[in-house]
Amino acid sequence: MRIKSRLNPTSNDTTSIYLEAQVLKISGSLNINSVDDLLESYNLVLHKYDGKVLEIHLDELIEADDIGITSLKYLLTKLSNKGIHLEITGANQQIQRQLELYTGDPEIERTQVEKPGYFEELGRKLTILFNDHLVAYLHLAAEITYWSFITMFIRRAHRRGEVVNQAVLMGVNAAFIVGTMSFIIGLVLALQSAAQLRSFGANIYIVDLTVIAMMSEMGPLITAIMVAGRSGSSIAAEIATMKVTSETDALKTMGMNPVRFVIVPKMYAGFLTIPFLTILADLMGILGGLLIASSYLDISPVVFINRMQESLLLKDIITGILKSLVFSYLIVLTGSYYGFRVQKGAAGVGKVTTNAVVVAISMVIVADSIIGLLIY
Amino acid sequence: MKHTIQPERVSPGEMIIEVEDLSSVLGEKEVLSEVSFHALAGEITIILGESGSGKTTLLKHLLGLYSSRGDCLRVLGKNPSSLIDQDEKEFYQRIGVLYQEGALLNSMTIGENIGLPLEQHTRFPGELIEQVVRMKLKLVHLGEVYHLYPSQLSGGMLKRAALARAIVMDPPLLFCDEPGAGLDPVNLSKLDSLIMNLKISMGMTIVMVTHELSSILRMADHIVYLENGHSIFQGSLESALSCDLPALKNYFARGKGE
Repeated sequence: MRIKSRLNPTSNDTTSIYLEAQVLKISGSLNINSVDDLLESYNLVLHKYDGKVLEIHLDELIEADDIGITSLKYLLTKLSNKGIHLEITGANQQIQRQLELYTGDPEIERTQVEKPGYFEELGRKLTILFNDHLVAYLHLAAEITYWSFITMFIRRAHRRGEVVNQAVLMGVNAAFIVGTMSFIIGLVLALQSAAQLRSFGANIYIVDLTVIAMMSEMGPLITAIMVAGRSGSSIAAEIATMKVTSETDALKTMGMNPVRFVIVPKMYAGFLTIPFLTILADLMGILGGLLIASSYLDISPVVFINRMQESLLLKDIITGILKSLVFSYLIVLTGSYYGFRVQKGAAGVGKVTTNAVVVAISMVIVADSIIGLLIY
Repeated sequence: MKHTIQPERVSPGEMIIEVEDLSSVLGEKEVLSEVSFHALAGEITIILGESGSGKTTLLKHLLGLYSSRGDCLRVLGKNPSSLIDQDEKEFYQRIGVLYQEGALLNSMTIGENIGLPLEQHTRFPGELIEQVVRMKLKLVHLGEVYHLYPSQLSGGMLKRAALARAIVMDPPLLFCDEPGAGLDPVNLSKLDSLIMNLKISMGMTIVMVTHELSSILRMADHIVYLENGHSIFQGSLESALSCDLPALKNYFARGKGE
């Protein structure tokens, strides 16, 4: 019975697979084009074969490449696993050698890896989180804090102009996007509230709502999330690349502390710029609220500003600035931490960058809640 | 506060590195097991071994990048991983390291890279630092690369620039981690000659990890052979070449293409 036969497009040979009584005959050439036929022949006919012995005649098999031989071995293993005794005959010298060379048996070599249970896995991850991540994170936090303080009193502890460079990268270059986003959020916040307030006749409270929300909550949070996305990722990627290319080792073996040389300027730049970015975000958000108040609720800009002076408390401003400083510290620390934890390779850099952004944003939100709870 | 560097010169023949029963475990794997060897001042010591035998780990211990027990490792008379603050700083001013990939800081020009140790550890004025850097660049046969960035240099030029940075403080001890990796025979030969010159003209002690047989035959005074984290041989190049240890015999035979 002819199971399969086809013209090989690359060599003009016809690959044919016949099954007659106890004989399986494979002829032509076995390569990537004929593998499907070989596997199909098993699925269609051979898996139903119920004889005890099967002779494999390879007299007319002219050639086989690595994929062809591997597939043939795969087929033979499947047949022999069914308890069929295989007798291979007629293989030419080359095919015989290839069959002998191939010793891999995917069915046998596949090692069974015992999958840990759900609670075992959870326990393992929690142990790593507390014993490894938390300790290392706090250790780096202590080191950065120490060197940030000490370096203030030491000249030339890092490259001249590095703090300004970093301030431009973290602050100045982020001003446009932070300002625009805050303006839009202020606009939407006021717009969503306007309809509700108008139905209660409490139009004027749009000012209190926008100003307090932006100054103490939304402004610092939007700024921190934007900076974590821009600079947190950039810090992690930069340090990770330096680590992968041994630049951090080189700094250490030149007698320079990588934390002091690389991270401290970023920390200073964050402290210098993020509070200003936050104030910019506050003002742009309030501007968005003012636009909605004047266009939808008939509150003139002068009335808006007068009311703003009454509703805005110094506490809200200070809270916002304080939050921005804490967020800045967390973003630089988290970016640096993940940068230093990189494993070898480009994929490692990508992974720590993603982790740095996700964890930095999460920590900012958690810190925001804690500060909120402490102050109110 | 800056301090004046007091270069403690080492006399030729003095034992500059002593390693006694050094073991190292990374994760759960024992990478080095009771490794012992020494390196003498003024000599080129080459650490050999197949990939995965622990050469780079050993080098990292010698550099203080991995911590080691106090009594099993002495480099220039000190255990680098136990040093802190000023002692650590002084130690690193007395060694130079040429990394496999160069490890020049990509955000800085070649001139700034080479001048960095001088800028950080001395009170030299900027003009003097530039002159020293230009002199070192000339020493490694690199011309007008002062204002270029590492990404603008070829592999061979990058290695020579990294060598210039490693020797900018005129250290008595230079470590090289596979300096010939990725270099063509011409550039490899140039780099070998430069390293040999450092030994001959400046009396520098050099500890090198390399796989390049041509470099080993050209430069080695002392050979240390690692196999699966064990130091199974140390001795002169001649004794290494005539050694009966199968691993060593095989290493040299395969390297020659026999």
